[in-house]
Amino acid sequence: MKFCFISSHAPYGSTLARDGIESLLVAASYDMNATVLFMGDGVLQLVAEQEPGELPQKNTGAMLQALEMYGIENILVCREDMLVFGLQAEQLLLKAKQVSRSDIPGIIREQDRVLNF
Amino acid sequence: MKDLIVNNSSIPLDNDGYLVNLGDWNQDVANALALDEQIELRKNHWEIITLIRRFYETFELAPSQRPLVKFVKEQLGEEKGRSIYLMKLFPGSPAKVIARIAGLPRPTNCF
Amino acid sequence: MNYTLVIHGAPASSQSCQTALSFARAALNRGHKIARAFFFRDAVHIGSGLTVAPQGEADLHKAWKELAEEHEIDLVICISAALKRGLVDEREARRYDKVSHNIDAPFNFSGLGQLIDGAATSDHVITFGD
Repeated sequence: MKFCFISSHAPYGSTLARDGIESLLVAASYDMNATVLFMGDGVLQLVAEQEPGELPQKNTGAMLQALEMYGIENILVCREDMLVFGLQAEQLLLKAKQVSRSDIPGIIREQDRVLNF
Repeated sequence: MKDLIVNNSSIPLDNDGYLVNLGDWNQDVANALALDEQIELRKNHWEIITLIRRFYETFELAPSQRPLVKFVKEQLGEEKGRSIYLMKLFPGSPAKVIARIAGLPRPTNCF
Repeated sequence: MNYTLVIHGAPASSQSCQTALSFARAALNRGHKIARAFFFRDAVHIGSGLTVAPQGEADLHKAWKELAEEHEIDLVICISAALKRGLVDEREARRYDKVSHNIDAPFNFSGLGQLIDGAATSDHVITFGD
């Protein structure tokens, strides 16, 4: 079953990003075909070399690097929202597939279930 | 809560037997926790314990079974990267048992 | 149709528990079924039996409890979100040596697996955010 996690909040200011990642990992552990889409402020979760240790908080960027271990390969990021923050592909902590905002409705339509974080 | 006595000092455990303070962990503590699971740690056990600690340092997550197996497979090869291999070394529920002995947080109830 | 609802916002400071409740009532009135409500993040406070609603204002804990009992809705409180917010059932109170507990049936403690399972086994899943 195709599950899409839409993550649209920045990390650390609230725990939404972390709660979304943990839910995503559980979906993968339940053998769901999981896709994660970072959009809006959520693209900031992908910035490389995060160091939230002084906050102190868990590093959600480090958690995202475990996606591969959990068999999650469909990692999407909204191209226009990257531009909003001046982010280039080489500044991201993992290889995400860039999609355009206009592609998103089609991506959602292909999914069986969608959860928002 | 009960305490684990190691080298005459007492290490607090929670009611599920996990370390209350992860900083208390060392090799002697690991041996004592393993004995409590009726496991005598040998080279093959230590190899896995070292790996799961590296997993936690890298990803800040105590892994569930599948990512743990995948990580072991990547690092140590096909033969060891299998559930059955981990089950033999750490009987029961390997991800939970290894996390306990290696001084990681309990893989959350949510997982 | 069969629905699983996922609720994020605190009952006392966000509209999300009330909106989800209104949605559930409307869906039930139309003959649909609400299989499960999964309370996550600050919404776990809905389970506390110690809340006191001001006179003349909605008692959301009671409203969810009554709706669940009448329509057999599985009310799940996310255990890890609850524990860090001081919400415990009898079993967890024993496990962590706490002096009392505040979660009782029909609210029950479970993990994120129930979120994924509920979403997978219902026809639709709807998130009510903060």
